[in-house]
Amino acid sequence: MIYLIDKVLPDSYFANNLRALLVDMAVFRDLLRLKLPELSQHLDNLQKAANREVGGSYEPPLTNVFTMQWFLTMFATCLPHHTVLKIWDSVFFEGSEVLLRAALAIWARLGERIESCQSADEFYSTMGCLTQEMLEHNLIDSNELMQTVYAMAAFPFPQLAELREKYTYNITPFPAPVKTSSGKLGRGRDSDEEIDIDDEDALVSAIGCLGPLSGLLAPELQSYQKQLKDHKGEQSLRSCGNIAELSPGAVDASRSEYQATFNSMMMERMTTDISALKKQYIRIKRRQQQQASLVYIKPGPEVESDPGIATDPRSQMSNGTGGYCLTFLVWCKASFCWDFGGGTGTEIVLRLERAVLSKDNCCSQECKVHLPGKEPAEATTGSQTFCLALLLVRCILGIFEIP
Amino acid sequence: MASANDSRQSQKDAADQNFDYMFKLLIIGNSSVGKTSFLFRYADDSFTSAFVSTVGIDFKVKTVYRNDKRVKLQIWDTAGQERYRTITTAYYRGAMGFLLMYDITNQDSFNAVQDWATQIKTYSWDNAQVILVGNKCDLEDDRIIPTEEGRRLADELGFQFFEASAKDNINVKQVFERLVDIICEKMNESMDSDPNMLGNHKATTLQESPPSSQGGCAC
Repeated sequence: MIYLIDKVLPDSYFANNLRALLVDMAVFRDLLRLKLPELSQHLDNLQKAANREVGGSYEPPLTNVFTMQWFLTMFATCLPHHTVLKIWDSVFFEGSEVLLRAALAIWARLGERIESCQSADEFYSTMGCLTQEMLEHNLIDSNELMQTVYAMAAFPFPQLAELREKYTYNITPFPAPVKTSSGKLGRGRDSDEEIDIDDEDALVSAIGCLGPLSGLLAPELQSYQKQLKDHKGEQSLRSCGNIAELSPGAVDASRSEYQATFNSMMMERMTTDISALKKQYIRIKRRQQQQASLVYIKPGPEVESDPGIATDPRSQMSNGTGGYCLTFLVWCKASFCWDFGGGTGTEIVLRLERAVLSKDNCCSQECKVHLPGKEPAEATTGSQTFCLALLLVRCILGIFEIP
Repeated sequence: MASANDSRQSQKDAADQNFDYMFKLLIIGNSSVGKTSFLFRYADDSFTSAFVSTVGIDFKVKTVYRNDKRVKLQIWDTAGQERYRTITTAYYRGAMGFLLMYDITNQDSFNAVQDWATQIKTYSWDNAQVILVGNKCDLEDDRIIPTEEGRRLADELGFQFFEASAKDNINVKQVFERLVDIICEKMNESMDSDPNMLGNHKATTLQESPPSSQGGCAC
């Protein structure tokens, strides 16, 4: 999960007022225009029609409600489990663009019924039915879906990196501001790109880190390997301690919130039995060192790498917290006791572990192989407990099942 | 996105394009005050105490009858978490009515009411109607916000006020019916006072309405 949030999904997907998610939603509408021009046009028309209605009515882009949910949950709440697992597998292999591809494939499948809608309201009503059919009645054939996902374009998706960058840096209205005939022109902008004054700080930090980090794998890994050479386990552990002592304000805004929670949790754990932990940590670290060279997989599909990131202090920080995560996992395994929010966490973990184990055959093979190699570069930014828990379980499986 | 628990009935409702009026309503309030539960109770008459955080924004469709008119309600259920704010406020604009909800056992959620009211003022249509709802009134033992305090705040803000319980199905239907009523009242009022507004309201609210809509909403 950590890996997913930190390395696979664009940065700030779950933090920073979901900035990256908004970017992806905007990017998605562009892709829809490219790949499914008729549907896109139809939806635009419906939206415009809804906007033309006077009286202050304003309709956000119609796909938003759905794509937002799809992307944020990675389809977990929208498609049957076996389909979701296939998509997740693919996400781990190919990167976050699979989410966009899958969304395109789904809209393509739904297109015909959507094009019969005559108004935005009718569209929402119809989608209400369709989403339910998708979830419960296998409206979307998972094999067909995955075929479409892979067939629609070469990997990485042409222009995707550019589009993401464009919307990350250029958060001005798009498509052209919708003119409403009411007096509230100022608010006729696409809300996605709308920036509140309060958001501006968040935006600055998002701009600072989002572009170069999205899908970035290789430089991180290199810097991790470099770190392995440079530091012995003990040193890294000490640097972890330093990180924990930093006030949240010293950490990048996008990470601070989660970091603070995480740190306090970790400090509590670590002070209890620091020496035992340290021993285990060193052992695991050594094993990982061996694996690191083996488990280098192909770089993420959307590597638009900015080499500067390797020297960015933040990457050091994420390496530091990577050690943290590792310690955390070791601790999980050692004590088999995990309070993630007053006992409910334990239950989550157990349930997830069961789920992951039972679905193992179709799901987490590649995680098992890939995750340990990149583990130390993982930091913790997101705060979706569910996601976090799930990936942690996967990490645990991954780390301890490899000989 | 319509949730998995839609009953067949509401599915049928959703697809049904045959209606006289169409109102968009929005439920807002702090995280975990019971917005989604409230909507589920109303739309599906179901309740579960498990807490599942809403992802962004969700909606349900329900058709009700007011004075022989079919009124289709498109009810948007928003995520209360701060991080979704940019997304959810985009939907304020089209809403004709709001349920601003707090939890009578949670001081923070009550304190936040003022902020939510400001959000409504900032982002919504000026004539949007608001009802303040103190949810979870079944938890009398844990009550922190006295009914009177809620009522006083509602008066201050110029909102209607209800205490309700999605769990015990207290006042849920009444809240929605009241909201529909005051939206209708408001529409009639503004049409009477300002004939120019007629066209506006017809366009936003009286979709596919028969000629009888000339006199405004008959509710």
